[in-house]
Amino acid sequence: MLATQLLVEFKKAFTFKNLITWMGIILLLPLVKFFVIKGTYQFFKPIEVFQETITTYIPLLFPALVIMVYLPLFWQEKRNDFITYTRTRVPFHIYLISKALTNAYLTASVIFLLIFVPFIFSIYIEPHIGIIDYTTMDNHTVIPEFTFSQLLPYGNIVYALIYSLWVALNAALYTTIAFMLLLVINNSFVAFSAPFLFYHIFNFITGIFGIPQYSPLSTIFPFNIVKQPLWTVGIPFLFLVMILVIIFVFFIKKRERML
Amino acid sequence: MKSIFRKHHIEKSFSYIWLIIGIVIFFYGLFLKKNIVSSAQHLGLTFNNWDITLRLMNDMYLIIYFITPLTLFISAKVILESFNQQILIRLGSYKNWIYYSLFRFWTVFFPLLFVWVLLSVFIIIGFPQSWEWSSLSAIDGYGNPLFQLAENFRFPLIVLLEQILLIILAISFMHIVLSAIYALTKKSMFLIVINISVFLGGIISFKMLPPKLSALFPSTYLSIAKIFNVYGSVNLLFIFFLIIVLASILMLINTGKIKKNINKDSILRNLPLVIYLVLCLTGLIVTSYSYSNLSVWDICLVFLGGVSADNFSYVSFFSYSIVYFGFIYLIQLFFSKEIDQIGYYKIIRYRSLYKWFWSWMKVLIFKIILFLSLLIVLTLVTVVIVTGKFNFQITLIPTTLFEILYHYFINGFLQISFYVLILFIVTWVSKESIHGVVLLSIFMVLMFPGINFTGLIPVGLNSFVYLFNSSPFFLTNILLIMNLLVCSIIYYLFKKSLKI
Amino acid sequence: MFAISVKNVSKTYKGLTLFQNVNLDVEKGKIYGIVGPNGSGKSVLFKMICGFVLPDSGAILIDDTISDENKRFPENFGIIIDRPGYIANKTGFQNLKELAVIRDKIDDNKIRVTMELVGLNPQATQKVKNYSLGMKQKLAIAQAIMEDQQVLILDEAFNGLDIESVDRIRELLLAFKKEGRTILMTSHNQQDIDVLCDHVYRINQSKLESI
Repeated sequence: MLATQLLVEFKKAFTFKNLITWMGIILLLPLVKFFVIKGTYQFFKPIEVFQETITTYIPLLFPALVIMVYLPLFWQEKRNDFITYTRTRVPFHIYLISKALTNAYLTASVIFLLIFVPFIFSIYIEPHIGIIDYTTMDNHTVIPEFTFSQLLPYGNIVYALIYSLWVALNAALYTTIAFMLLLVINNSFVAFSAPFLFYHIFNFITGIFGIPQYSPLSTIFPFNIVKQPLWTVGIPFLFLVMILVIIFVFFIKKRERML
Repeated sequence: MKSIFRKHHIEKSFSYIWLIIGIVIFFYGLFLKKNIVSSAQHLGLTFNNWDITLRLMNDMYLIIYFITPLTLFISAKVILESFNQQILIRLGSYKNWIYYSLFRFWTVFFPLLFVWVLLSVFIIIGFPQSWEWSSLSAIDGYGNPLFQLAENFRFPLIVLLEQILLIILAISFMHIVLSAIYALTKKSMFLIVINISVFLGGIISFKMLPPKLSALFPSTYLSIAKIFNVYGSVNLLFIFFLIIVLASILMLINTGKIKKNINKDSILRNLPLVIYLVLCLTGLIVTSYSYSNLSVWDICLVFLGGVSADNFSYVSFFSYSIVYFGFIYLIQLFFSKEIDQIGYYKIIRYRSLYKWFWSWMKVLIFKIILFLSLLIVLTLVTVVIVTGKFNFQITLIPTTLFEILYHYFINGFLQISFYVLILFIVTWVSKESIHGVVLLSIFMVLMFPGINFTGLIPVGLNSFVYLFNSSPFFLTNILLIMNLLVCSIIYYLFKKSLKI
Repeated sequence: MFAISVKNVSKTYKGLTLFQNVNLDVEKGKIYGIVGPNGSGKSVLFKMICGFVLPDSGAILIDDTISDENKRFPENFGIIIDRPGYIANKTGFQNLKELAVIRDKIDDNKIRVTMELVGLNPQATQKVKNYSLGMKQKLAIAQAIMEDQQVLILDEAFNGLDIESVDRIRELLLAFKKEGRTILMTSHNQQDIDVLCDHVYRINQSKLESI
């Protein structure tokens, strides 16, 4: 039954408006950044183009992007009491689980592509088009390394896949937190803004305490600090998993009074 | 009745649990003794009884990993066991209950303190005895936590007595705070979460944070050596004692007035503001510590400095975001209620949309002015308290105090009102709370270097760093024009049909 | 002087013509009924009269005065349009109080009297989010009448009410008419129209016809 409901949810989610929004997220943001950097930065290798393309806008907009992919659709149903009418047609827990999984999966997929597509473009397509003028490296050239660069020796694709999956996993976590909060609290603005708040408050606190290597910004988009051991990226992630568990416990308690 | 009560508690107090605790402290003390002897021999210095006594009383590993969790556990247990209808009705008020809870706490906790102090004294057996400091105590570094104490206190006995007094006051204060929190919320889970957070916070501060930032965590205040390490001053210690006593009294007075209808809703309503204040204060305190070599005004400029295309750092960027966008977020909470809940019934009672708009906008304008005033006062006061300085020179930015204040108040007001008006437009047009979040994110993106290099995009223009290259009056012109533009947009929107 | 005058008003909404050169004069102290099929534009007409929606052409006069931007919403109108609106986490009394403080014309006692009049308990601590549909409707009626509004615009005011409450509200509206108040209402229940209305209009093919 869950599988059927999942299929139903996926079909519902693939509307023209949603597709345009997702395409906009995946293509527009990296494109805008690419054209900003193409004439103004010095690059030695395509990997730098990729890393620069996904800095600035995407890390700052990340908590807003993760709530835009699917949550508005779910909120419309909840706000207008549509869910009441589904309860006679499908078990409530199946309905919610399918919604949660669809939300997490679609958000993760869009964010995965947001990272992976610019990578493919920067490494495999742009060098043939020749938009960027690469500067020749000499003996003194040092290409900065960032967290996840540890994976580059295993190949570019491995690096890209793992890094994109990591960002996608974080996206799924943030959006699921917002999803659970929409179920638990009445104020939709607070629920939608929760990922935004966690993300930026965490960044602020780690920044002022002099431990930016543990900030969400530097663990999800680690291009603003020097290379850190891979385990450091897990610290804010695990903290948020704890938050999600706490919210889930609240949700279980409120389940019968909800909706 | 009282004698039975006393007997019951005395019996309970001296149970076998204290024996186990005593054994743990004793063996840990032996371990410390061994280290002292080894260090002394290695450095060729003398040691005496005070080295072991004061180290065992001030050892942060013991305090954070053993004393603190035990204290928190006992505190929570006493609170949860003693908070019931039968006791409350006999005590007559929450204030009395907190006194009662504190008394109950100390009857249970006292043996732990007694064992700890007793063993700290008992364990000196085998060490040279003296009333003075040893040469090992006086050495700086080499893992010696007593150096600053030896420098500032003539006799080690005074340190021991003050240490005991400090523990009593600090732990009492902690229990009073936890009791007051429980009296207000009546949620055991919340109490437990706070306790766990305090415990984990202590570990994190001990392991990862610079020493000065440990001031934020309660475990710090159980060790006089740690306090010296953090504050570096004995004067502050006495001020701190005074603050503890006063705060306890104030809190007790206030909890006496707890109304019955303080409930989850009223706490949740104020929670965003509390979190916001805590974040601002934390940022301010940390900045003050980090830049304590600067003057008071310079530290204020650093904290409220913001960013521009030419002057960017992530810490300044996030500080600006927390302070100003955090305030805007609070306003957005207000908008989401006001506009979400606006119905025909409400709006028809105002003769026009402009009157409705002005009814809350004038309150917001007042709040913005109040916010700016309180922010600068809080910033200055906090910097003075934390740094102990009264140097108000401005050296970081080549400008006058008049321009700084003008920029802060006038441009600050115009910038915040611009944010508010844009936010209103987005909320009014879309009616979707999600768009407010997206807007805040866009504001943040627009502050990044390489985007606002002309300084014409009206985001972050109230940052002090703009004063390096621009006149504040030029910025006023931009902000005024932008404010007028958004007012025109609102005027146009109000001429259209409503979508409510 | 008419309480409300609709002069040659036309309104099109997303390509659909709702009204075309519609005229309506509402005399003071009378009850007018507007009937029509679902989606015919009854609510839109009421919203135009109240100033929430602007007509594409024509004018709406309240007490012979055309509304302008500074006086866009008519004074002294009590309205029920669309779904009942409320602040979910407050009680019924608190909701009404929140509205009453805007004009500050009435005191708490008047709010309580009004709530009892419509069949609600002013002392109840129940939050409005837990109200039944009928209770929410009563609350909507209470806010429309509590400040002694002289003109009542009631769109499906009887929805969700039990038979006793329907009778009570009908009596109330007839008493208001005797006091000289003007009422403009819609209802899908023909009996409400028959019992209450002095004049009835039907929306038929973008026009208002007197029946």
